[in-house]
Amino acid sequence: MNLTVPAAGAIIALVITTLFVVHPSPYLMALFVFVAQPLFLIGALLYVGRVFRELHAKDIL
Amino acid sequence: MLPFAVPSIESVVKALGVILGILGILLCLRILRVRPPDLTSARLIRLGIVTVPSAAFFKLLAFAALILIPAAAVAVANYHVFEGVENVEGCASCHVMHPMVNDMHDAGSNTLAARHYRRRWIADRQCYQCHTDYGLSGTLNAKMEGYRHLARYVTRTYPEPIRLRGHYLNQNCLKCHKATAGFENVQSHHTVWDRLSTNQMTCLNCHGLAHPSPGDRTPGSREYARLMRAPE
Amino acid sequence: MAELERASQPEGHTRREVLQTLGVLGATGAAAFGTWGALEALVPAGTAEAWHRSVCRYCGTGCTIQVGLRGGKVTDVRGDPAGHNRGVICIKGATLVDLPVLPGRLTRPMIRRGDGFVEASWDEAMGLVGERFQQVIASDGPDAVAFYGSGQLFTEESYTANKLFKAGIRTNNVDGNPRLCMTSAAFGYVQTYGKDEPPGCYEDIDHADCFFLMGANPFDCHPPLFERIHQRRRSHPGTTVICVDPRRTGTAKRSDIHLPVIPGTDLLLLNAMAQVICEERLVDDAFLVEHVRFSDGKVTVRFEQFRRFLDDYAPEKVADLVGISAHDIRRVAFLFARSTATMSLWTMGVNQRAQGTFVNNMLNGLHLITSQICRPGATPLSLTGQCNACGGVRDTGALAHLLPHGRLVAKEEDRREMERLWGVPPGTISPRPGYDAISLFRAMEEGKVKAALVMCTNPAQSLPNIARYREAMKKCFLVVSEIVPDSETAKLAQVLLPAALWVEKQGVYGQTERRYQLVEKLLDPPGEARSDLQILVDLAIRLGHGDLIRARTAEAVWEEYRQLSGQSKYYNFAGITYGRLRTLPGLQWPCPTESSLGTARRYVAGDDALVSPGRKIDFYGQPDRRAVVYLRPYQPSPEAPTKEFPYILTTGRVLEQWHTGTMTGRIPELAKAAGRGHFEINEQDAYGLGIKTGDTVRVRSRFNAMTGTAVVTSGPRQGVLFAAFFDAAFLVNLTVSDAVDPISREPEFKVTAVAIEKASA
Repeated sequence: MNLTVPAAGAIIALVITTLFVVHPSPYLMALFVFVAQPLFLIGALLYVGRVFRELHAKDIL
Repeated sequence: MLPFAVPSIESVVKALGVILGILGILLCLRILRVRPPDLTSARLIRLGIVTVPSAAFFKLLAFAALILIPAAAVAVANYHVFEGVENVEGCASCHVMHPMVNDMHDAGSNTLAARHYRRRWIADRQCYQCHTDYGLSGTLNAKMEGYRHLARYVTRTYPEPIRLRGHYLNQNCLKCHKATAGFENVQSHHTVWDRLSTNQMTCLNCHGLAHPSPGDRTPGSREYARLMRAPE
Repeated sequence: MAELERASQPEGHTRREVLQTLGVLGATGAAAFGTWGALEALVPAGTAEAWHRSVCRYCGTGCTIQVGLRGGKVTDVRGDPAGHNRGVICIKGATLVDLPVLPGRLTRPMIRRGDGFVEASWDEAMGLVGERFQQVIASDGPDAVAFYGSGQLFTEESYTANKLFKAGIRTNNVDGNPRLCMTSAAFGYVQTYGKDEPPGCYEDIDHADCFFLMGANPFDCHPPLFERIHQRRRSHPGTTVICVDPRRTGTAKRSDIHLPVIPGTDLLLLNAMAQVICEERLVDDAFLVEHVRFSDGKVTVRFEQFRRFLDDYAPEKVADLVGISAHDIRRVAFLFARSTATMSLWTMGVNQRAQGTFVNNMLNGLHLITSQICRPGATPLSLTGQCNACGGVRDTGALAHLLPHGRLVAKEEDRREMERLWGVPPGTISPRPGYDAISLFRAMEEGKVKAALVMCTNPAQSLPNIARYREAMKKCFLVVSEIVPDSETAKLAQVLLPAALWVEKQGVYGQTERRYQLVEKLLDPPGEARSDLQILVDLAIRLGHGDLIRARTAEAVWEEYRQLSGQSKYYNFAGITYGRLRTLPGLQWPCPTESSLGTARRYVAGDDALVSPGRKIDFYGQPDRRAVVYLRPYQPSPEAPTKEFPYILTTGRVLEQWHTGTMTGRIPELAKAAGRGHFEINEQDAYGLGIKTGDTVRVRSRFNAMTGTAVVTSGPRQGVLFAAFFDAAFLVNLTVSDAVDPISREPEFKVTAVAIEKASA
């Protein structure tokens, strides 16, 4: 299971989130809300997708 | 009395957020360094008292890094989005709000915001108390508007002076004023109660400006410079 | 942690990963902008699609408003934050949404047939009107026809009517309902400063620390102004509000000092205040020397004579007659003189009086002797009753004795100048001033005026002593332009013309503080209704005055009138174009050029461009540049109480109803809130008379009698009854005296001697 892309996305999102938590300015909030959150979601979905693919390959799901 | 200083919620949020963030970044970096061949083997990894296959360990790691920690980090960060913005300082962090905030703090101003503030009729989070709409769907509207304001502000696609879009709901006023004798004693409130309660007529018609007028908040206007400065 | 073997990646990123990365970036971007787009689209709709600046239809506050339209209908009305009223309007203004959909609108012309009316076409109706007017003019001369207009017509309309009748038909019988409300103030200003209209403005409210409210109840009748006074108090504790009113009104209750004077006696109060001010050396001598002249109405007199004249009015001598204490008189005199900035505000209680002009003189006089004038917050501001009595009637000269911009019918050089400006031969304008309102209806009674055009007003309900004048109107060929077919005046018409209302037509309104504002046409009138301007133009053409009345649209008339003002030294508002009115929340005249921002305070250097260079204060309206303070002797009202009529009836208004209720009476919430017309009787009087709330009482004056419901209250002072005149089923004006001020010819609605008794069930 190749999780390079979702992990990279999550790193970017986590960096934004950490910065935002420390200094909640409007620009960081916008980055968090509109960029980091979608990135997290997409990362999570990619992960779930890969899990399903693997389980499907093993005839479990 | 506790023997140590009780930390504020803000500090807790910040600390937790930083911890989660760093942990998450480390775990993700760990995941980035893993290569597929490592996962297929039946290699075992010992974690304290438990022994798991490396593939399973990797997936657990990924679950933590991509689901758990992001969820926690998002939850913690959204404290700022949902609670932090309720503070006056949160509103004041955008410069277009400075006229409203400065005016509210101005003891000589007669806008509704200033009067409510001066008379301490609202204890704290004054902006939010008037700008949260009554009821769940109302609150949802307010949140959506908040996100929209954020997008507009950071992309600088707002006109100045800014104006409220849609409708300022009277319920924001009525939720405090309706039950009072002062309100009930005014004949006109009863005369047009139907229109007030359904927002066909705004309370502001008779009660005037809540904030400095758009004209005063226009860059270059006579009052603009004064409004952009905090009052003495 | 466990150890993991590192395996190296064969080369850089695989193509798959690159595609995935791009996909993720794209998805993130889509999510971000998609969310934003959804938020923009899901914004809750407001109450209107488009907003237009306009002016309230009702009172002389002249609030700037924003009218919201959606789907071609008015869906919301708000105060305009950029207007002088700073977003504040009152409950009548807030219900303006209902005006365009008022029930029972007159939509077609009607011609009388017997006791009723039949519908007619415009051509038929106006043909009849033109024909009758021509007949009467031919057989009895131009002075047998008349125009009775209104302070609620647009300026363009009053101007056109004035021009048509005075320069076309050649009669000066042009008058209107401002004669019933503002002429005492107009004459007062002209006598004092040489020019009509207040020197100050609403902004003075933000600077005054003493308010002298006399014969005015702004809490109910000019609410946004009262709110502004209230704002001043909030930000400036120590501001004093003095209220002179026979009733304990909403304003009086919120004032610091309430003087419940006996109606008709307050010239005594003002003279007494002046006496105190002179005696206690509260006079500003330097100001008097430079800027004031004293006069007894005929000749100039010296200040000493003024002082001696006032000796008869010492507080102790007059307090009982006024019904208050000498102590209070001395107190308010001191506050008036010694406050940093004193502002008076007055309206009908001062104007609708047999000595209205004199009371106006003295109010201005108090400001002049104490130099409480020409400074921010210090000014005598007469509050106007109607939305356009100032701009539309006083300034256009649409009164029987006036020509535009302060010119007088009686002055030959003014007539010649007007004839030249209007392009008519010298001698066209009659030298005879026309009939003022009361005289006009008396002339109808005597058959001297046989045809009259009545526009935008309801004299059959609003005149004093209406029974007499209703009979008079029946004798006349009355052409009435109205919005409804069943107003009291409409019922007496021979020809009824359906009129457009408010934003169904376009024109300029000029309110209390000399501010001209534009009402743009936003809707079409219902049915076949037309603007009053269109009706006047039609009449002009039919009477053969098509080349005189060449301006046929509101904009064209305004252009003509604006240019005309440029020919007047002191009424110059040539800088007020429609273009500027469309973008600005009004402009205060004088405004001589298009770059001028208007004049907030007149007669003051820096503010008023007409002040001569080198002078700080310049009362340029007077030949010697000095304002005049008059010695005005008090005379009891002709309606002072007698044994037969021991009480005083005073009339007025309520918050929710405008004038005769032709508009607000048809808005259900407002009608319900005001209830039916009734008599407010002081509780002490009621006790003595055995009257309880709900009883039917009979009120009788020298003029007439009527019955109505009594409401017992502590409002009016003992000996005084109050009633409002908005209810057509409660025609209180039947009993009201039609005595007039001999100078202004304004009737004394505020003082009628009456008898009250409980009517048998």
